Amino acid sequence: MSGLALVISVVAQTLRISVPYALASLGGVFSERGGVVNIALEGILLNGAFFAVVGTHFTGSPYAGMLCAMLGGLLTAALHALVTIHARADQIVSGLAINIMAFGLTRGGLRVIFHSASNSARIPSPDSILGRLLPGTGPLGDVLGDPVFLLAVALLAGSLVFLFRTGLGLALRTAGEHPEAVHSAGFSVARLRWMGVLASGLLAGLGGAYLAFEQHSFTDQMSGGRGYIALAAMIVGKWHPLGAAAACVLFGAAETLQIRLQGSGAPTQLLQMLPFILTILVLVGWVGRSVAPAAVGRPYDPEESDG
Amino acid sequence: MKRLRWVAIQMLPIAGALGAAILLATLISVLMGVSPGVLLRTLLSRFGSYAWGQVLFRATFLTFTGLAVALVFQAGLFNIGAEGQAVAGSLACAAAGIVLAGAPPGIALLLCIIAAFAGGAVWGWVPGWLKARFGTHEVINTIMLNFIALAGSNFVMTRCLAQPETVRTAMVRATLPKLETWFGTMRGSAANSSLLIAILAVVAAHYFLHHTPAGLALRAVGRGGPQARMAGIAAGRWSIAAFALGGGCAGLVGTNFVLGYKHYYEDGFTGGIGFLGIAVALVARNEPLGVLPAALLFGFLSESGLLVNTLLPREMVDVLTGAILLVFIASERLRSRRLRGAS
Amino acid sequence: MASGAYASAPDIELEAITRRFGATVANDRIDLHLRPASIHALVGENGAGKSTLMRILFGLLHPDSGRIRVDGIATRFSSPAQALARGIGMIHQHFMLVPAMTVLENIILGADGQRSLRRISYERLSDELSALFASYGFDLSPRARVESLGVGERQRVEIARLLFRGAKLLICDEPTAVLAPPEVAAFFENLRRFRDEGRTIVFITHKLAEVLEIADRVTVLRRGRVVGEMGREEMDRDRLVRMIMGGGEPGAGPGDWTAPPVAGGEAAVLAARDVTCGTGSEPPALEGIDLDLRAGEILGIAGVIGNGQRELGEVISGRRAFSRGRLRWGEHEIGPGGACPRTHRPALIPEDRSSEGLIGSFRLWENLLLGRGTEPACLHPLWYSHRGARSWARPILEKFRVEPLMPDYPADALSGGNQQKVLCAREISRDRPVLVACQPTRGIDLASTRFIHDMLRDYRARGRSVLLISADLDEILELTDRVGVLYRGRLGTPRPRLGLDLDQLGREMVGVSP
Repeated sequence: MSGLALVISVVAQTLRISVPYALASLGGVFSERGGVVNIALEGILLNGAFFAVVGTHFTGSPYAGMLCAMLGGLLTAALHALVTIHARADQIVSGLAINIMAFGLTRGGLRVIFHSASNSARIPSPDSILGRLLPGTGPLGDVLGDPVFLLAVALLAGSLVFLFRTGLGLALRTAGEHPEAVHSAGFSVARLRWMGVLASGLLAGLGGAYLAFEQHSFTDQMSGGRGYIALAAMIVGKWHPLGAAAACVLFGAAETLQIRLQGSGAPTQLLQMLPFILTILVLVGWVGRSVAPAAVGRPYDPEESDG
Repeated sequence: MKRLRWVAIQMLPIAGALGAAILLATLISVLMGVSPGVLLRTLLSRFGSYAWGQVLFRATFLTFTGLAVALVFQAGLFNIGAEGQAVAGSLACAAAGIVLAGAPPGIALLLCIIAAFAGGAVWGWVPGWLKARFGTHEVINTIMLNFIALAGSNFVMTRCLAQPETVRTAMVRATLPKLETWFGTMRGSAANSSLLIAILAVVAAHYFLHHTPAGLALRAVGRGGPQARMAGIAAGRWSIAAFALGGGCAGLVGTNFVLGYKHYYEDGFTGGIGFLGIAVALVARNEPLGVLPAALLFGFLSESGLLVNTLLPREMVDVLTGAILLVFIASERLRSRRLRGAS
Repeated sequence: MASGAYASAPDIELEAITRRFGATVANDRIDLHLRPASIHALVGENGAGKSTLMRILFGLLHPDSGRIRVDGIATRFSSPAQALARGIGMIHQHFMLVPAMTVLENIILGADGQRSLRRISYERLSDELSALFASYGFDLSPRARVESLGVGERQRVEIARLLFRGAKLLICDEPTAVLAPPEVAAFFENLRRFRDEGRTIVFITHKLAEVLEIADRVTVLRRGRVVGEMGREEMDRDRLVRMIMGGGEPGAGPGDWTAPPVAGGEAAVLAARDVTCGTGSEPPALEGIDLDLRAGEILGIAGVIGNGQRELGEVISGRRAFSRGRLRWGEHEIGPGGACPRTHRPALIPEDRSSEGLIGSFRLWENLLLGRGTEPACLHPLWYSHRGARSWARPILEKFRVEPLMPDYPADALSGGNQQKVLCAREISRDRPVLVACQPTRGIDLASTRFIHDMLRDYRARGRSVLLISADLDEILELTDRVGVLYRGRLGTPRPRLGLDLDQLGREMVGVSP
């Protein structure tokens, strides 16, 4: 492979790998900016992937699969919102419980629908839009023209506008920093937080769809920790959509490196560890530079007062 | 009367959660075209002494990981890494067993148990130290360390410990007798004397937390960090201690699997016990004495899922576990609100 | 947008408002009439129920019973949104500002036209706000981050926010608590102007001088009930004090200020030289602190809360690091990076008993044991039974007259005064050479206050030393041998208490130098 072709191939692969991370991470930004910790991103990714496969399998259309994935993500996130915002229960435990349920649901669904313990039937992925318009652009064109990728970029841009340029976005951000202030300003903290969590469900669900389309199937536990790494990327990105996306590209590059090195003789297990070790090191390095939204993780109860 | 009401309120979340689980199970079985009556009858008919033995076997695992999570929760932190700690401890236990193959069996057994605890304690110490020193998110760190432990164990196995042509280590001479040799029932099941170690661990943890100044300091750090600091307690030190102790408990899983059951180590047996440990700890309200019954509960659930595997997918158990947890924590807030209003 | 001047405020009546928190009745059938275009003061001691009442008016809390009438019509404010829609706005004691955001963002949060997906036109709003600031004489920049602003400026942002939203009734909760005297004067100027524009001001305070200066009417609350109301003409300081304190002599008198101080030993058990405690960009919390604490003396640090008292208490007791200077406990001296060893660490009664002192869910004996596991006088270092712990704790609780005398009770079941006694019991019975006491009698009843004072005197009589940090001047003058004033992180040289000029002391506390 020529030098340029190699570079293009690596860049394309990095971008491809980063998309699920970036979508999940963007979802995390929405949720946490509103004040709700969302550990359930892992489960939402998994559910999204599964729903995408099921939707595509039964309708034949990848676009229907995409919609199913977003719907699945939305429903999963709604459960998390119900438990954490409405019942004001512990947000981390709720996220973990949902992840457990997602593992069970998808594995069980795999067995029941596809009669396999490890993977589903093969599904078609959406055609690259760019690829259809300009055939021959190679792997980079395939990535950049992929509908989900384009949608992800649009959502990223949209989130920037929403969070920093609209009154509602300002209110959402305040709900995570100082819920009492936004309540005093006349908003419903619960409603704002629901919005953030549902948005995270939509985004991460779409990320799961992308994962499934990449593999053209659903495999057991295919989220592989990406949801947790996406949270780390969100922290590194200082809870800013662009920062989180950039951090995700970094993690994507690490994973690309790991895959490429697999044939080279270095032990596979050690390579597999790379993304996880990297996450830990990056978090240590970022200590003190990244400050979470001030009120994240704490349920807001306006009636609890010291009078 | 007030006492009774207090007990009733305490039991409310777990009763609610179980009720929700039964409802959900019924719903799922109906959706899958299985009559709940048939489900129940099948379950009851298959639940013999072997099944009870398996329940105890699972419960032993869950007691260790439940303690691992509960101890750290008492210090105010999240230990999602019980699975990785269990892997580290079990690997250490097997390695010690192999190395000590020539030693007198009693000494070897003791050292293997200690190795199991130590292996888990070291793996648990890492996120505790990272949190105390750098303040990094222990949730993400422990989850990362789980993955690293699994990959690392695979690496160590394939490179040095595994027997050629197999995925397991050499046989370990030091063994713990199965329960069936003591009691004569539960034939064929995996239940073994490490259950006694689990019970001992629970009692020790309880006494540590509630009857020693060290335990008091640890709980103070968890319940009132600022207050503890003002009273002169070094929070960082106790965070690390909690993680190390918790990790050690998770490491004792090795006594159940390696010493008591298979007498060798192989990858993959730890699937999910870390997360289930969280469920156990929460239902036990992070009290060591509550961990045992909670572990039995989830062990029972797990085994039931296996027994009705022909009718419903066993993964349903995971869905039920998650649902139990969600309902439990949701109603916990209601319970504490109710109690506060009543006082 | 900002007010149509002279559009009148609504006439508000609160009828029989009642609200409980658990067993405490915060508001007990309160009636209050707020007339338009007036400044109405709401006074009372800590915990009298003033803030609760106003939060109900603003829709942050629901009353258990009672009615609110706006211009005669019974209304319910179930959220601040509804209150704001009727022109009611509130400036809270703890500002509702987001430090990480700009002045502009904080002001427009939730304002009409800024609640939806419509794009914010930062330019236009910035100009609008600049005009608003100019018209009221606020020296603020819309693009500045709130975290860079001083306290007085932040308060002006809060006010501007209400003006921007066209509030006609402004509720101010302890607005002057953290203002310096010139800022207070400017603030009152603005209040008078708002009133003349037709707005109503409700002003919560416990400072009588302010009431006398600015209020048109005053309502006095005590223990959740209205105990009196006066118009400007009838206002009289002594009457007000009697209403607030509850009959009998106002405050049952300060102690004997002329009692000579106990002669302390010469050796300094604790010494600080040039101790500075600061974090980077902001002004340091403590600057150049010099002090010597002698054996057998009580050294008082007087000052309004917020001038570095918390940091001083924590640094001197070895709980907080400092960035410059030297600190010595006994023979053990450290510099900025050092740590105080356990053996030399002073006992500390922290400023906030509920969030820093006792752990509410822990029992009394557990709280008493906190951090003392290794002390020889305590229980066995390795193991204790609950019965043993209870019998160890009982005499301590008894000595400090804690009620109820139940070592098994959780700390949050006790009243404030008893909680403070438990906290003092824990720290005093450590019997350390040095005890640092921060606001030890804040917000508690008179009997408990007196008792704690006696315990502190007793402590001194045994040859120990106390660093008493208190905003209560009476307490300082009653207990101490020497007094220093802490103002904006700097400590004036401690002087003997006997023969101190009180007015001088008061002036130093607000930064007016001799």
